[in-house]
Amino acid sequence: MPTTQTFAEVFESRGISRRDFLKFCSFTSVSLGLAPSMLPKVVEAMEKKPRLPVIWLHGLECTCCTESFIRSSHPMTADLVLNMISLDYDETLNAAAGHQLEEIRKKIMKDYNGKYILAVEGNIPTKDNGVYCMIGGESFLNIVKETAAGAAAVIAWGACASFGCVQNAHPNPTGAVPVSEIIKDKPIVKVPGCPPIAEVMTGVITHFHTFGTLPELDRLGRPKAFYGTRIHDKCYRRAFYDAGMFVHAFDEESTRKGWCLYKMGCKGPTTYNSCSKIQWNAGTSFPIGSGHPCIGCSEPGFWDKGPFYTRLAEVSFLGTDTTADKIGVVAVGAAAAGAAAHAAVTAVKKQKAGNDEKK
Amino acid sequence: MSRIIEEIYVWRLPVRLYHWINALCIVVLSTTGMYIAWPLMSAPVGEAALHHSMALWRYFHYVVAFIFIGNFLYRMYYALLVNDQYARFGGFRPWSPEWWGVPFKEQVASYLFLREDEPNYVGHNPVAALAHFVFIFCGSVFMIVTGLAMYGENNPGGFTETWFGWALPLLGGSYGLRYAHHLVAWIFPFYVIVHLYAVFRHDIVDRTSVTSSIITGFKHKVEDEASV
Amino acid sequence: MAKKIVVDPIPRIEGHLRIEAKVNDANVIEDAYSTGTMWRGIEVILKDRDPRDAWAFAERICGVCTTVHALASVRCVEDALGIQIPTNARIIRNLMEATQTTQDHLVHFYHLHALDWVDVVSALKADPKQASEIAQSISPWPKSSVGYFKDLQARLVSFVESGQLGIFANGYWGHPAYKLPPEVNLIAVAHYLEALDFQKEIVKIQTIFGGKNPHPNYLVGGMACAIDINSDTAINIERLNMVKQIIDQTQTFIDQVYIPDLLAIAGYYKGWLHGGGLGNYMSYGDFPETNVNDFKSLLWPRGVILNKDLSTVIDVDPRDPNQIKEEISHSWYTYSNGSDKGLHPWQGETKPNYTGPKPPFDFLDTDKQYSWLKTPRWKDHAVEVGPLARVLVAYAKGDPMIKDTVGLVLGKLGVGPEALFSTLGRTAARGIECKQTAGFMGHFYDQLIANIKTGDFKTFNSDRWEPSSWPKECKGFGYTEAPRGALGHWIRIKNEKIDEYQIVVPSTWNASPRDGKGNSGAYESALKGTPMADPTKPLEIIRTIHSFDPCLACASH
Ligand code: HEM
Ligand code: HEM
Ligand code: NFV
Ligand code: SF4
Ligand code: SF4
Ligand code: F3S
Ligand SMILES: [Mg+2]
Repeated sequence: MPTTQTFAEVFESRGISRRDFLKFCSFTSVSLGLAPSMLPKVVEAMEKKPRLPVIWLHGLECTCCTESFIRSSHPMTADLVLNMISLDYDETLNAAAGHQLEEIRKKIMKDYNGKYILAVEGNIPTKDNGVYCMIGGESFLNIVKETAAGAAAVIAWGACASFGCVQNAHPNPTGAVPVSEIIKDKPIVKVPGCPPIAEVMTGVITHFHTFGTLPELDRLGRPKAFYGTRIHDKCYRRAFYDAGMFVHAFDEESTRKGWCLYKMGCKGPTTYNSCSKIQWNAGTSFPIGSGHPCIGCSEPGFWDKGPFYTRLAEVSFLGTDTTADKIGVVAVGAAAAGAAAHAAVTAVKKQKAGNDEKK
Repeated sequence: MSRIIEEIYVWRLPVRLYHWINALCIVVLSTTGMYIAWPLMSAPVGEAALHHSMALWRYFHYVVAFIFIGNFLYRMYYALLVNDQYARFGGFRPWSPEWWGVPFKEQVASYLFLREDEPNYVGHNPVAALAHFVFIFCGSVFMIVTGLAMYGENNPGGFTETWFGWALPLLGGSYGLRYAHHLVAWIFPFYVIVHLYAVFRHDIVDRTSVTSSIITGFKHKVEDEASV
Repeated sequence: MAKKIVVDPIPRIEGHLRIEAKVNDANVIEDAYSTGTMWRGIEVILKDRDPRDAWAFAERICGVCTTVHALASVRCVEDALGIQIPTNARIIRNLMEATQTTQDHLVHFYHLHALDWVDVVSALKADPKQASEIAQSISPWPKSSVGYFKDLQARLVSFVESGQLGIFANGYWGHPAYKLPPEVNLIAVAHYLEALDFQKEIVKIQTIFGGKNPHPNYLVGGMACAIDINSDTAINIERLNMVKQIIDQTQTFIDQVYIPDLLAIAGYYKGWLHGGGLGNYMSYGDFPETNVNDFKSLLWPRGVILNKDLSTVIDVDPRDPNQIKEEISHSWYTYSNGSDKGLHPWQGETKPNYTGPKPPFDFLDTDKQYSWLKTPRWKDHAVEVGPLARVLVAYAKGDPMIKDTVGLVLGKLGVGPEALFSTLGRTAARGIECKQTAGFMGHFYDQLIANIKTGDFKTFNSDRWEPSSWPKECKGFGYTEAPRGALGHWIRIKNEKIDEYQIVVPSTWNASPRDGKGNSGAYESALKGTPMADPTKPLEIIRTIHSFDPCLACASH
């Protein structure tokens, strides 16, 4: 096994003073939103741990989770990849190719058995022996199973790996499933979003590295630190929502005044994510901040909850597309019509019975 | 003229109170709920902090929701623990094949005009009991559970979320939950129409004064002049 | 006897690409087969959806060229429904696309392509003082002191000594095809890290107008971002200042880092002019200055060049059923009316039909179907698309700006225009275009300001927003020049729903398997005839393949 360096050693060999090291630690804890009392733990973690090996697999995906990842501003991606973790296998960034690349994966699986993190980006196609995603002549399905076996934990990047993203939308032609449907015996941290916010992604990794534990997860397996509340709960347009001041069309006065996008189909009220808090691209903006309703891109199955510009999704019911309200109106109408018909028959019968009696 | 031959005190005051509180709650919850889904009041002018229209509609929905829940729990208590023969659920045994036997079939047949006479019941007729169970009991439980799960979302880790948050993953996340709550809300207007029709019809056909029974508590057995 | 070698996975691309190559005894590539090994079915998934939602699905085809599918998608829906977008929306879309092009090219050069030319390990041996001198001689970029390179080298040493090489493990370090002196390698590594840091700034322009990056939001009929210079919740002067600052920084970075590095590196490789390939080039053109159907107003012109003949540029019309057709004779699909004929995308179909070996396998049967990519052809010609195609079309059409920049680059390298028809030419064209596009960004910014100054805040046209205002049946075409080349979306709308959606992507053109006549696409052609130093370390293959900037998620979608 190669000699591995701890954080403190990396810093030392770079000629960085103890003071700067501590500063870095406290910056990290602040950016992770930790109480100052956690600082000694952070320092300790960074002093003792070798860089955490990470195998990052790509399945049925658009790679935008990786793209988002490299947009991280704190920590900066270069720092994370060079100093905090050891990103040993990642097709998008690796220098090695072909079998030399596959060798790396095998070696990490062997040398760090039970100690590496498996990060998965993308869905796993299960139909037809997994031929919809093949790498090095092997199906992605088998590669995921094989690589997960020795992993300490699994990170499911993005909506794809967490819940199933665009390729698993109806009619899901490739039988695409999220990681949790294939890997059942490992802790899985789901980091949904299409893609997730960069600092959320790097935050999840540094959490594990720093505290040696997985972040606390909510009922859907998402880290509470980033998916604890809904977009709506911390949206700057919330005052307009409460006031009933809504945008009714794109590009009208209310739009320019930044009123609430609820009636334009905003899924903020049902979407758990950090967009309205951390925001995107180092706090530059977020979808609602730039006038577009949230499409709920970190929620399970959001693709099949369209049209995006209406509050109520169209659902398939008895072979046609309809909405909850259309079903409801038809049911209530049917009840009224039924009652009327029943009343009519009752009246006719009564009349007849009356006539019979008179006879 | 028909003659009252027997007067029975069927709906005791707690049941009648329950009934009307429930009816009122359902009307208010349905309107406020639909308003939450489709807020139609046009935007007021001025500072957002001075307006609360959406917040108030939601607030009313919650207040009435908790009255609704309390009332429901009270009715459950009354049915299970108070000895009131007409209000008890004891006779309602849909798991037993017997329950689906002659009285149920007779009642269904009557509704379908397959028999001439109208079966008569002092308490609920079995079809009504079934309808109450499916629409009111199950519907209420569903609305309460999903409603509380949504309510809990306002304070993750709090009491409501801890006890009812399990409904979220079950219904495919927050959106699925809300959608289900919205969809099932339609059960109530549907049921009210059927219910009101059934009540008025029974009143006219069997002349047992069902309608007023839910106000006065009394049902009457009448004897038809013609049949004397 | 020729032997078959396989490179799979190809790293530093988007998606999953496999190359099988036949190499002869002299280690020269005789033939090559390019395979896209994944398919997701986005065209199938798009069916029956609301056309106004299509952009979001289409955008998820790719997160690397994020934006371009959304743009092509809103354009095809607007084309079908007859929607004219407001001027501000057109300018903002142009600006967002130019942002995409510059960021994508920058990331490609440093993070996806550089390691094919730059030996990271050799940088450990560099003399920081000399590196500093070289850096200062080629660029005024301030981060080029001796101390800077010394520090970087020390970090590199400690990284290598840690034993955990991460993404740099098992590279072809020391391969004879690497030609740079250690000092230039060190400079390149420094800029690899700086570019990684800087690229995330460029995309903020998309975040300002589209709310996030990757995958900013688009809107059929315009853009959702409201403009009001007197509002604190719309695009106002603060937002515009940020855009302006990013544009300035981007131009500086490209002028002072990317272009000097490109020239410095290319100078050592001008003897390696393999990988030219087809010699046919196609561009749909892009950056409309009036509207998308006014081709004269396109800043990037459209046209086709055949057989490297720069004297003639042929017109291209993607709506013409006889020009663009997708064949599937070597792809894992079927067509209802016979899989032997190509189909124009408006008549197109997507029906998967895998006939390859069951995984795990060693080789594909490349005589039969061997890829998830279809095979698009223009009037039966295989054509190359991308930066080189665009630069050549503009050059052949006499675009003064491109003529100048190309002349400058060729002059500095001391090579003639024929050097453009090569792997290196493709890489150089991307740099030339990146510089030009960064210039466009400033131009679009000025246009936006000028238009806002007239009091025009409009960003959205609501005339055809409601589905009830749509025709019962219609079809549309949307195009754009994505970073990797000509991109087209074809839609058919029926009863307010998508009836058929077909996408033909730049990387589909370039990475396509053979057509019915057995003719290769751009990747396969470019590899033929390339000598390899060591077939067990196929650096030459990935170098040429990377020069196209492959995106396989795009290509097969
Ligand atoms: C929102 C509207 C209403 C709802 C949800 C509703 C619901 C119910 C329920 C759940 C019961 C069963 C009572 C029990 O066992 O506790 C019931 C019984 C009854 N309700 Fe209503 N009710 C509504 C409106 C009305 C109205 C407006 C009337 C009369 C004009 C009415 C008349 C009656 C009568 C007569 C009974 C006793 C029926 C029987 O013998 O089965 N209800 N209702
Ligand atoms: C008869 C019973 C009820 C009806 C008909 C009803 C109806 C509705 C409707 C139509 C909505 C709007 C859903 C949407 O956004 O599309 C709603 C929302 C909601 N309901 Fe109910 N509801 C009922 C009972 C309850 C109960 C018992 C609770 C418990 C607290 C509850 C809590 C909520 C909450 C929290 C919301 C979401 C409001 C928001 O987040 O703005 N509901 N309800
Ligand atoms: N090929 C391709 Fe794209 C680009 N550029 C799309 O149109 O990369 Ni993902
Ligand atoms: S989750 Fe969305 S963004 Fe990430 S890879 Fe999947 S499609 Fe792309
Ligand atoms: S814009 Fe969306 S998230 Fe923000 S307050 Fe309105 S509904 Fe909630
Ligand atoms: S669409 Fe996605 S990016 Fe955030 S605001 Fe909504 S979760
Ligand atoms: Mg296609």
